[in-house]
Amino acid sequence: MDGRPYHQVEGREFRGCVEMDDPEVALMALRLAKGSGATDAISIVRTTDWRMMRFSNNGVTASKATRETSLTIFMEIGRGRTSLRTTDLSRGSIEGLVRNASNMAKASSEGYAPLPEGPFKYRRELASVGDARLMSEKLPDAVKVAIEAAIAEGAQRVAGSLIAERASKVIRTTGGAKGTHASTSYDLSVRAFADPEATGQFAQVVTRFRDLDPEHVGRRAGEIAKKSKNPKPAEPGRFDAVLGPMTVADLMEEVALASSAYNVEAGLSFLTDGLGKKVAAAPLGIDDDPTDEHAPGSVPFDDEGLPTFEKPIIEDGTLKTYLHNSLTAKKMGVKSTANAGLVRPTAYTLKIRAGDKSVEDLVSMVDDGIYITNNWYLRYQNIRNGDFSTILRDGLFKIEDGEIAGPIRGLRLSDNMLRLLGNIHAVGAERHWIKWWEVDIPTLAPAMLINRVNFTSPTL
Amino acid sequence: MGRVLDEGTSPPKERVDLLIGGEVVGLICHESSGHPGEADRILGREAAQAGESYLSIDSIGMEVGSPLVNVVDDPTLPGSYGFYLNDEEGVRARRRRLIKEGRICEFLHNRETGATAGTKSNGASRATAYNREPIVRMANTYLEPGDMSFEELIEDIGKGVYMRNFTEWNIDDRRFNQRYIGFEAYGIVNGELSTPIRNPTIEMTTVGLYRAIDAVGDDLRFWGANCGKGDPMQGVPVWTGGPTIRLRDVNLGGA
Repeated sequence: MDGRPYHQVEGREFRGCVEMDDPEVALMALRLAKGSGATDAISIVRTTDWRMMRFSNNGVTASKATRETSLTIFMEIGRGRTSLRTTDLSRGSIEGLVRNASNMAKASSEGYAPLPEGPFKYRRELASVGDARLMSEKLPDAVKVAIEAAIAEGAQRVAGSLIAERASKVIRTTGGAKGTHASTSYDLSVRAFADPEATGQFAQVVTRFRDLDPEHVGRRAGEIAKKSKNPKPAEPGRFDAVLGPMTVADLMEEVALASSAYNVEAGLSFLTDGLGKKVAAAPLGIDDDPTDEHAPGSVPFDDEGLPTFEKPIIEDGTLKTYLHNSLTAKKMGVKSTANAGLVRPTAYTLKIRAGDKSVEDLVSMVDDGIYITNNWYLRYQNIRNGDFSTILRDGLFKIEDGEIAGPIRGLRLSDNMLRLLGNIHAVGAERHWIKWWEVDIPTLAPAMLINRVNFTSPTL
Repeated sequence: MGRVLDEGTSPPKERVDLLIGGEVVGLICHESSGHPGEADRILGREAAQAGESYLSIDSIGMEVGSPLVNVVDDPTLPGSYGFYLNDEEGVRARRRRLIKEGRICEFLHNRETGATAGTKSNGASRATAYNREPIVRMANTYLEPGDMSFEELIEDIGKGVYMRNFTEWNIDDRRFNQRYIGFEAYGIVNGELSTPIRNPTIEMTTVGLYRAIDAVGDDLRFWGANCGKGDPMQGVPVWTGGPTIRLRDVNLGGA
């Protein structure tokens, strides 16, 4: 390995003179909030140990480590509410945080919704997800394996990152919620270059280090890169397209974001007015499942202390629910889905339901089309109706007569979310856990065949 | 916005002359001149995240635009959003000429990339906090103004489009294939603005766009923005700026 590693290590956060553990900090903050007039209050203490190894040009270029503890205080006073956060856990800082939160809550008029009333019982198996400790010492070897696997498949240069994180969360609420949760996760992303324009990328996220397969991720990135050499300029137009799991994960995350009731209420969702209606073709099913003890993102309670549960967002193409916290649920006259987000409800872990086709089957169903392995920079022209475009990058291939005909380049997927969802024709059987630069929510994603996808290219 | 929604017509399908307002020009300079000129990207250090560049380290002198194209990144502009006098590695900040008369002139360097490329840092190392890695960043990136008034730019256009500002954009990770969606935009008929045009789209390669510039206005303005790069993400304050520019005989994209 060459390159000049950049090493960065951070110390523990400033706690002043106060020697309290995280549950004690949470309890003290909650008592201060109640004492300052809060009708309802939440105190959450999060501690995150985070390690990253970044690599490029076949060598490690940066090794980073951070450890941070933060306190989030949420207060409702009358119809006002606010949420503030600090990483300074000294008593004076916490008192100041509560004082500021109290003043801001009194000045706001967002609306009141009582917090869920406990006490609650949480799934014991979710109290600790993943490894008992962070397997930091194993990261360099995993990076080495990923790089060598990509090179063995034909890559000349390999880049990427391996992020390891151990996160703990303690919650106390005036509703009687009292919970603790800890988890580990390992995110590996590998990008291989067979030449400057022939690239391939793949990613994996797991909760236990032993489940990480750097050899597979590196090999897959290398394979795609090798097959991408000497790409031909592509013609724009409407084509049937097979989307690999990286792109499916990105698009389905957009669906999950659009299903947040906060985004619906704010006019930032293409799923507005879609509840109970067909918003996608029948093959599509998306579940938010934070209860799978082996799944990245799983958590026993939401940020209001409500026990989480598995729920379909889209089932057989029908939008089954928006994602709610207490306030959005009250406004829409339904129950919370335990997806708080104190401000914006959000999905924790997405599982796209598998179909019964292999990728080869999906490709064989296309006479004249395109196989997409990755994308980035998805932006909306109109987020309310779903008009968007995204850059297609890494391996991009022409499909002719049911077979991969060769690599192409220079296309942008420029279409509409609802039209794409409605044109889903078939779903792959094999699924992969994806989380990387473009995908924040861990997503178990298969490949998909979508009919008549619109592609554009530069005019000059 | 009401006029655009109520009265806006579809963009023309045929080739037209195109006026691009300074807000869009500033974004173009940031995305397809500033970012591909970051030496850490050129050297591959950002390959798996922010991406690389269509330029290589020996692209200095390469012709990428018309002789009217002069792009500058300058952290020393008084009162600017991207202002600093010393970078995060203690290097004195200075003005950097990224493109001079249509040719690549200089890249953005920190100490590491400067040494790797056989040159010196030009003070482009920035970090958002004490505990974040300093990396190569822009400051205030803009197209230098020309000497034509807006009236002079528009007066001999028979049929055209004026894209005053934008709604959204994206660009590939080599900073070569870019797209900007117009927000406030108008048709141009015989040298005068006509009815609103709804969402005209510029979808062009970097060199295709820069080479098509045939006139540059004198109306340079700046806009504040936050530029994202790094992992963990570091958003730094920047200015993007530009005057109105004119492109002749081009197709709009996005169909």
